[in-house]
Amino acid sequence: MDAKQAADKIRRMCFTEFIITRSEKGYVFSRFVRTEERRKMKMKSPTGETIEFEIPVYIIQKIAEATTLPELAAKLEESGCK
Amino acid sequence: MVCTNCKGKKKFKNLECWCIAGKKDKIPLADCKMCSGKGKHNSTCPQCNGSGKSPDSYELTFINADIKKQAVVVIDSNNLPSIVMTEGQNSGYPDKTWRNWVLPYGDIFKKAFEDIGVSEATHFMYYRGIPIEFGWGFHDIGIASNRMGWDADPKPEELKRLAKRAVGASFAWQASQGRSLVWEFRSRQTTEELLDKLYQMVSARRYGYQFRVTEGNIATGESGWGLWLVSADGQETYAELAIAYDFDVALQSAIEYLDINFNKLDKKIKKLKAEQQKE
Repeated sequence: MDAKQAADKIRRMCFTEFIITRSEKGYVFSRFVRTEERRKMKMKSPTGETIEFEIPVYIIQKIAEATTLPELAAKLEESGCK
Repeated sequence: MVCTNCKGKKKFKNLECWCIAGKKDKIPLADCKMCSGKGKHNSTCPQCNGSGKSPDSYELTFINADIKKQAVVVIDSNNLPSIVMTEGQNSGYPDKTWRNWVLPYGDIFKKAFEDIGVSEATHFMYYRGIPIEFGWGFHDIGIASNRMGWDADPKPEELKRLAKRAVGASFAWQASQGRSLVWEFRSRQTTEELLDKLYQMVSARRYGYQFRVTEGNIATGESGWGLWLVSADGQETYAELAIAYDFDVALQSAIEYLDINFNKLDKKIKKLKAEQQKE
């Protein structure tokens, strides 16, 4: 399995909603996780009013890590992308 | 050959203007640039530029940029390859009778690709300087499907008419925009080499990159790869670099995008970060 096949395998296996980050050591597979925390946002409307609203805070949670994409695919297959 | 879009009319007359479309009172905007307040306007057919005719043939050029070899394929609307009917395999429909009619262009292109020595495994395909998916527009051209409301057994004349129309639709728009029908091929590196090359580019300036699967197409369910420029620790996302169905094409596109735009992008990000720190 080469890197391209590994990438496509991860795509098929783990559906969407994931991020793979390239680092010096290799590849990190993470997911967005919604937290209880909320962040206040301010926006100015075209009429000059300031609107305030809250949005949920997401964190990026590391699920798996490997030095190459084929290794990462193998790890994720074993763990069921969890 | 009569233009397939306007059917030889050249102009579309008295079209309802966008400024009254969907409005209950149908009162046009007085200063509307399209209809000058009349509510209706005429429009020249965009496909044939008002000539009423589609070209009878299209000349497609394929170039192997590495060795400067080229092949020309002429697609003649009056001399099309014979239409092939395919049965829908593994069709989700209970009766399994999904049938398609296609123009098998694949073989014609395959021969041209062989002549200039390119293949999907060894080359990227470019159109107007941008790497694109190899199969784009070059697999067999679909003509009709009995699931799209066509008769289960259309008459041969009907299929011929549809075939001409499909060929026109594939290339006429590009041609009508004054774009040349030239595809270029450049040799490709392996996925590993592309992954490393992109990492070297971004890490040299203390960035990182991420790839994610993009949202699927609603109609087909297909999804692709998106490449993003992020901070070295991966916590901040800065810019989308490329998007493509094919992993390698996404990587190559990102590399070429950064080649041209990295300085500009870097400046923008630094300016933004400085502003954030002030706040």
